[in-house]
Amino acid sequence: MKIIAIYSSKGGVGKTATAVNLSYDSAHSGKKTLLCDMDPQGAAGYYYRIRAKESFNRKQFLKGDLEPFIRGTDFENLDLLPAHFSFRNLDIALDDRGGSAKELKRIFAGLKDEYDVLILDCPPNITLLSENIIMAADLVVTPVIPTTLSILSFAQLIKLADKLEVNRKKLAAFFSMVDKRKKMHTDIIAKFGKKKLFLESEIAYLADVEKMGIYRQPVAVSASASSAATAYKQLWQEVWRRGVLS
Amino acid sequence: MNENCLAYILPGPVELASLLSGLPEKYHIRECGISVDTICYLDTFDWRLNNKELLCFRIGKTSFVLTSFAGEFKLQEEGPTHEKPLPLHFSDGALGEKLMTVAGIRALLPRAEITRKSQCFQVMNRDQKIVFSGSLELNQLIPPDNEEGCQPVSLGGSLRLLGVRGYDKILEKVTEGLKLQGLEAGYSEERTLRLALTELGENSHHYSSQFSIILDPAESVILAAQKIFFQLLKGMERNVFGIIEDFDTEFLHDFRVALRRTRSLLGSIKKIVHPDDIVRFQQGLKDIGTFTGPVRDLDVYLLAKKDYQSMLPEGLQEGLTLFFQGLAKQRLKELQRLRKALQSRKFHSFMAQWQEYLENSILLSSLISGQKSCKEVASKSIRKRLRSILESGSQIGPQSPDTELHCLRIQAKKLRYLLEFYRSLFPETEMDILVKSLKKLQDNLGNFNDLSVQQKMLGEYQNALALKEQKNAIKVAAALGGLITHLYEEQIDVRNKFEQTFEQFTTVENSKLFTLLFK
Ligand SMILES: Nc1ncnc2c1ncn2[C@@H]1O[C@H](COP(=O)(O)OP(=O)(O)OP(=O)(O)O)[C@@H](O)[C@H]1O
Ligand SMILES: [Mg+2]
Repeated sequence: MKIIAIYSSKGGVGKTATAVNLSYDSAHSGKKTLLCDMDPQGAAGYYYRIRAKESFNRKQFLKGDLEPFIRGTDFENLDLLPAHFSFRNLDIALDDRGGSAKELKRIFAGLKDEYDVLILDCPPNITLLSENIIMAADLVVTPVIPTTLSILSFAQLIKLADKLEVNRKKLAAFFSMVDKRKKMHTDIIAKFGKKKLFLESEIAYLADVEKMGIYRQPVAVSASASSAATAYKQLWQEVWRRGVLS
Repeated sequence: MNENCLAYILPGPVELASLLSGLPEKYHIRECGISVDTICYLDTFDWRLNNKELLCFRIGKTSFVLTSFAGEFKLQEEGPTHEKPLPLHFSDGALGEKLMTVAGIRALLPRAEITRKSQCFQVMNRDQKIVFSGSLELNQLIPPDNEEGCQPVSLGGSLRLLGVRGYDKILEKVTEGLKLQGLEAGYSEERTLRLALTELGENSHHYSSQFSIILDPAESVILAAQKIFFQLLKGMERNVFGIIEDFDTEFLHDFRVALRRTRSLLGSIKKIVHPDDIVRFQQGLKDIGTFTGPVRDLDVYLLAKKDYQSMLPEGLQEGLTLFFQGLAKQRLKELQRLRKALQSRKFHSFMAQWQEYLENSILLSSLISGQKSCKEVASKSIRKRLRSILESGSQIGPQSPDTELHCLRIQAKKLRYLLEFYRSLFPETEMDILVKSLKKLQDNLGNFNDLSVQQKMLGEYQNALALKEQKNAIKVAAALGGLITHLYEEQIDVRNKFEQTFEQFTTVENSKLFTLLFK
């Protein structure tokens, strides 16, 4: 089982859109996939029309007793672990347990026989949870909007990885919401795009992605022939290759 | 979605909405279209799949499914367009392989055909999320001869429900509702096949090419003979249609086995019925043996094609291919002759006479010894036959001529038939041991004979080629030469194993068994 975290400390960069579409592509390519909604907002669950069971809460999550709360999506090979509002304090809870950065790894270990791929949709923070996510993941994928601010938050992630003594090869960034008409976008891509940690695939700013909120489906389903669908598929292939090689 | 699939038996047409009437208001059903498929259940003439609890069906023209009755495995693959395909027509996939091991060289014949109307549906909650899905299927038997005015017969159907992980409660509620409506889970494809076969007045145990008959030890031998002859006659008759239609090569083979058994039994009851009767029918049966022979001989070579290919180096393969092409052509010609003979007035009237004789005259023409108990006669015949095998066999040494082995082979065959005819009169386990051990001896003798027949046939073919001077004659002749050499060497091997095989047949244990059983 490969754990792929979609993470950025910055909000609104396209993490959830990425997690939703990549998990679909992964499942569609035949891999048994679980999308874990780690964000108490529950946006990933919203796109797949899945609500958490009422009985689901933080305690069970921390115990690693995830099985009963996983729900099937409408698509073959793809399940979802919904978020719960009690995840809001997951950080504090992790802290209570001794502040270890390896808790999450332990929690997910129980799923390794059932799934080939775990995709984590993470909330925008830098906290103990972020550290746990980085430790648990085989690959941390970061959407970067080609702006100075976004680049800074990626730099922050690299620093955190170094602090945790995690190999930088476990990090991968890609440009998200790219608008080629904007000079700043093209400049930043030209400057950083060739760096090793950047993937070749990009996701442009596309109406079909925005409209996911209306259709509540991955773009490969709501707009199967769209350039958005193609772009995510390509991104998935590149992410998977990195994940396997990392 | 998970694999949590339930299948309910529907006795007849039902509305989906009424089946799911217990669904709470916040859910709704989305119907996703109706499809109609023709499904054809296939099995060999002797029900080989059914006997191994397997089921094969074709959906539409070329989509094939092979599954076990219990459904633990299910293979689905595209297959050949043949209406009655042979396992070798399938490509190399898992399905073809499985068919090959179970059905072997037998054709898959349509046993029942149905149309299946399926309606898929999804049940969704308020978020338009699928909470379970399913299909409603209705099966109708297609009358076999497509007679006009023949109404299709309903075979009931099924309701399949496929749960989604994490949404078990709603499915439980629905299944409770179905239980209240009196529906049973446990629908299977096999069930539909059985219903179809019942409608067609068939069942899967009608035919076995294995000979088996239960005799009463006290009944007279003439009665026993009558019963055995009858079963053999049915065995021949049943195969005629398949030979004429040329579904597969086993029809002719089984026909000829029944024929040989009949001739052998007839030859062994000389003191039991009037000799004139024996002579009369022996000739007719022999004629049938003669006109069915050529196609069978060719089948034997054509079936061994792979073996032959493996005997020759690359350079001789082309000649071999040409040789087989020639055989296939020849077979077609011989098959036409065989068809004519089997449809001739002469054949029909002979078979009718034989049947008439078995039904009405055989008991009347019984001599006094025909009234002896069949067990007594059986023991005596087996003992006699056995003694002569032991005698001739023990005299065969490394220098003995081939003809002695051939004689022994025929005697062993006759003994085998006797053991099979009268099997039910003796203890089963002991008979099994003897038959098994006799079979080993027969295999050795049979191989030896086959190898010499093959060499002879190939040699004759070679000579004929030389006379005709066809354009590829040299290539073919070279291939045949290669084969003959190979077969000759193999035959020497088999011959060298004879003494040892015969010794294993005449062990002290076997002798004890023989004396014990047939005293
Ligand atoms: N490539 C894109 N083109 C157009 N709109 C996009 C694209 N990616 C994401 N969006 C839109 O931008 C908004 C934020 O995206 P998303 O929710 O995926 O970001 P996020 O990083 O998960 O945010 P948060 O930090 O709040 O979880 C959403 O409305 C989404 O539909
Ligand atoms: Mg998000």
